[in-house]
Amino acid sequence: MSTTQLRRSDAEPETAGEVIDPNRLRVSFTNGLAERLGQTDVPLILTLFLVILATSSAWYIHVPVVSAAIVGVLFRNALLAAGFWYGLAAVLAADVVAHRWSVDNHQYLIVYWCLALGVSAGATRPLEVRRSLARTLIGVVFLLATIWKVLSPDFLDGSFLTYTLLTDPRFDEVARGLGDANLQDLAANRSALQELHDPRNPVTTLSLTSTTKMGGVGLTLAWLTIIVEAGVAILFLLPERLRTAFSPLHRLRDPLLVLFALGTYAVAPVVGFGWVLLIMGLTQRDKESTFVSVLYVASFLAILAFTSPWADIVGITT
Amino acid sequence: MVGISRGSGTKQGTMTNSDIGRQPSFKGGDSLRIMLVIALVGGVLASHVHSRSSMDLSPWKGGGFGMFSTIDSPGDRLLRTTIHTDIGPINIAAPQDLGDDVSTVLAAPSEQHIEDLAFKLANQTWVTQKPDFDSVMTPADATAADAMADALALFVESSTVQAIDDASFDPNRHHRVQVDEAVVTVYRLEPDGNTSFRPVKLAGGSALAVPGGDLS
Repeated sequence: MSTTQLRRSDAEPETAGEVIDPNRLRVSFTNGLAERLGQTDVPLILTLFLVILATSSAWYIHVPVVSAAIVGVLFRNALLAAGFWYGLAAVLAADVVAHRWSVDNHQYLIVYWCLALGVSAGATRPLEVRRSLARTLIGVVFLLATIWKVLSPDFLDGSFLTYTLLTDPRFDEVARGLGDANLQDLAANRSALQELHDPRNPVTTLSLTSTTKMGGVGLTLAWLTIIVEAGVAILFLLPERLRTAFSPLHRLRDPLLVLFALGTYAVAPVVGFGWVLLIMGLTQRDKESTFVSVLYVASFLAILAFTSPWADIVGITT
Repeated sequence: MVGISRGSGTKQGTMTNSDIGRQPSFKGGDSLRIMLVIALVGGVLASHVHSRSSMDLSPWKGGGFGMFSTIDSPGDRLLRTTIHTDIGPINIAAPQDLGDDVSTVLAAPSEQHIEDLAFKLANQTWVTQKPDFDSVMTPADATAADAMADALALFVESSTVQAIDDASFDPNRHHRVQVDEAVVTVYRLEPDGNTSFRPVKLAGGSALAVPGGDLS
């Protein structure tokens, strides 16, 4: 039975012997998914979602970006044109330059990625260049993130993550689950911090209420973060000649990146950062691994889902 | 082998999945293209490192990818803004329309950024609200009421001092605060024991008000 037959309209009477086999439908769906995710325009289309939803909402950025995205969706050739991505990169770069001291780092990364798409579109071997740049950018981002953490004394001794667990509401569940904190103390910490930030109050030392476990939790999470981020950096920046020698290890880069993205953005859902990392991950994946492709796309959706107020939806009172 | 077709009309041709798995080495133009992107990343990184040392740029900002590496994020830095006025020094909150300037100063407290913010603060129209005696005093006492309102306006809580648009200044409701100078100071928090964090001054600066000028 062909896919066309499976999609016949409801108006067409079903005759004996033409019953739709659910197994075949499943196979057809799986094959269709594998084929679609294997197509090289998927990361480009996801990038359009990225620039629409995760860049500046100022009209002078939003209007040209959304207009470009519409053109990209309507005209596939535009997606494959270097000028299209250079234009998008230029608009986004203008915003980053104008607000260079205050924009988040992923806005820089989105500009690099759009530039990489433009550069690769004009190359003689566009897909290879695109893949290489995706892999390199992921590696460089994680390398820099690791270096900053290793150079930061308050990260290495766990102070930063302890402080974050005790004051950042996004980390409340982690602080309660792993560090035995209670909500009253966490609320009191935030209140103390808020008072310190009040410009009318004197500048004094901030004392937070903690638990005996919290320091150890902060230190453990700090080193776990360094290990995972350094691991991603190493696997993505592995020189070409070593990739074959360490092939099984090298294949771990995709699940490790996904693990990082899901673990990090489930707690602190920065959609733009998570998405650009996953899009670049999807771009550089090996061969026709449908599983890895599905993993990246499912994580793409999961990061968006993480922004939903799940505690309110399921009625968890905190 | 599943062929992955590229768009017609492009020079990209068709690529197979086995091709995707190969690790190509690049030559000539393609290599230069890759280097162009890497060079841009390197350039921004160099600028970040320079700004970090020259103006205490927060590792969280500026394209260095140092987010979540330290307490020293712009959001955890402390800003203190004081205006020196005819009724004494007053600690004030920067008006919301200076939000971008405040963000810049907190992320990158350079001398220039601090002076820019201080200058804008010094040249806002700062006022206090006059007490409303109209409802309790007769018209014959109106002059006394005005004098009393002006006098009471001098005994102000800093929270009652606010910046307004000069066009909306109303002498019946507002007492104008004469500003001589604005001072801006930025602190960062530093761990001091397991759960204590002490403020350390990062940078500070000031600017004088332009006589008779409102730049809001």
